[in-house]
Amino acid sequence: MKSTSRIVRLLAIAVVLALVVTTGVACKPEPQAEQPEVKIAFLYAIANPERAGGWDRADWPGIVYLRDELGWEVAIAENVAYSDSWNIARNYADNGYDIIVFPSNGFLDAYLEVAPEYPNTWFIMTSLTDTLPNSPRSAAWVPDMYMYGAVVGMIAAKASETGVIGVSGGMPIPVLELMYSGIIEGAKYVNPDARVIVSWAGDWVDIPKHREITELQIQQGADVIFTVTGPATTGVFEAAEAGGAKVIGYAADWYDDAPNAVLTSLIVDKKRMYVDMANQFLSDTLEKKMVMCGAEYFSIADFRGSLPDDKVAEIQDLFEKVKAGEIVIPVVEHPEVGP
Amino acid sequence: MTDQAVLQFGLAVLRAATPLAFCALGVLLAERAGVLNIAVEGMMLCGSLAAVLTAVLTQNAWLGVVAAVVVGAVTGLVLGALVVLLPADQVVSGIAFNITAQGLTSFIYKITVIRGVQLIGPATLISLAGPAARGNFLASISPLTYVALVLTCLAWVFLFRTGPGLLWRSLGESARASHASGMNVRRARMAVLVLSGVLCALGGASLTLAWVRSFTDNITMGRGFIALAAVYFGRWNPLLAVLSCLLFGAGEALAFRAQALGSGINPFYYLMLPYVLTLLAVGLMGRAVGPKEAGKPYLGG
Repeated sequence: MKSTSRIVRLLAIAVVLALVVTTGVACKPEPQAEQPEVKIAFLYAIANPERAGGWDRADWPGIVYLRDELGWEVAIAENVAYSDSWNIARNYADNGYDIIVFPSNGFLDAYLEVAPEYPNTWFIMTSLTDTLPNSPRSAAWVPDMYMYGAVVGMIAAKASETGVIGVSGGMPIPVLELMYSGIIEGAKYVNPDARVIVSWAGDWVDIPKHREITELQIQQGADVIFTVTGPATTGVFEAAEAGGAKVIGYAADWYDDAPNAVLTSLIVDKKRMYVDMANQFLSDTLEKKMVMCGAEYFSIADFRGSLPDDKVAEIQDLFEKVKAGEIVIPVVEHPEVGP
Repeated sequence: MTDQAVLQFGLAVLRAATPLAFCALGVLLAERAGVLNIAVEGMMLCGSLAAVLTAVLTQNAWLGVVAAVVVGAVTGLVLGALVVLLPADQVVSGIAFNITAQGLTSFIYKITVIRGVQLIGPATLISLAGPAARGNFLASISPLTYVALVLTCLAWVFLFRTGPGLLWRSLGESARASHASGMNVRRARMAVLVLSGVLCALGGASLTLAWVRSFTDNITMGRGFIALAAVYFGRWNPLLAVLSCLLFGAGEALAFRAQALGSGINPFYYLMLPYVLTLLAVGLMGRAVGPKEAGKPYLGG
């Protein structure tokens, strides 16, 4: 028995060593063709931003632009707990990164507190904020999430036959409560009888939970679904596909993920924010400011036959009028969407 | 509540309970043979990834189940090497196994998946829902749910009504006595852990093949540990353990329905419901006495 356990022990050590070595190899950075001049870091709360929920996914074209077209060195911190974000941001600043980007409203406190400690590093927020840090090198591109919600509400109310719209979210954070108020008002603009059901899953990642929530909304008559969550978005698609409902994709084009379930997506052009930022940084014109990003940053993805052409035309027409300022949805907050 | 709503509720309970039932059986059989299987969560994760990856690549859900069985057996062997052959501490090894499994599955998922697109497996085994379920309740239940229910009954009959089942339980009560009566304790426990791994992996497979057809990092979200609690609540009896899995499933299904009906109460109170139910159940059951050997490493020859 002694010899067996020794063999097992040796095997265990070998396996651990093999794992360490392979992980090390896998993590080794690919050699850069040329020495990058600018170093930029992004912080994400969940893993795999490229494939995760809508907002992080919408960042990806911007990251690709910075990395491949400008040749910047892009560092991405994934799975950053909100409580760790202070230290991770400081770490990047200490290591000579020129720009640190916070793409999520959840990092707001770290953004406001760490930026003043590093006056030579740019701190950028590309989400909802109403204040800038006390630092000369800080800027924010702030999307108008209420208007975003209003446009979603209009599309949903136009597309819905039952007049019931199912809206779900991961956590009831302020930006979502604002957006969902916009959905209610946008839907009522198109159809005064429209009913919006709002449900919260309690997290961003539990796919089965999101599936059950969406299914319940469909059982209550919802035929158009909208969700803002993390990797759990798949659960929403799964339920919609099974229940014959259609989903409006959030921030990025979701068609490839679920061709049978996606009605359209309301895309947020986050790449444009990063292109603006990069151009201003390179030409030394980047200054402390808050850029409000309204409907001109939004676009409706191709419907790909999910709606009759006349409906699509009506939706496009409404959207153009919102963009031109001809339709203004007054900001009415609905506290009942929150917890 | 209409009949339709009751049926949909029943389906939701079964969907939530099936992965738990498989895992609870896996944990229960291992503990009945004297091995604590804390690694249930990790085994479940490995099974869920293996199942959905294979199903997507081959477009055959049953091959996904086969892959989960194979991977589950391997996880059982790995855990067995640690806690039976070495033998290392069962709790610590189990926790280490879970952490490793989470990292490993996330890593494999990241490097294997086609970039930018989520996994969507074939719908063969899916538990139907919504309008699709209106036709026939029994046909809307996933085949894996039936498998779980049959296995539960088989496990009960085996443990409490057959000779080998008696030997199995004696292994969990006194490894020395089993050894004295001629059993090879190490070999038997290795076999038990392989079976336990297979069942836990099937639990994972029923999550990703019969419920949501996709994968994400840590998709199990602690469901393995709830199965662990179900075993204690069920007093190491397969029928009671699976019943408590159903109770937990009912709590989860109820939580969403209560929120959807709306009553002005913070939704997080409803989301707490299944966990409060579990806690209450375990508390109300009082002190349960499990297999005496569970958790103790066997050092004899």
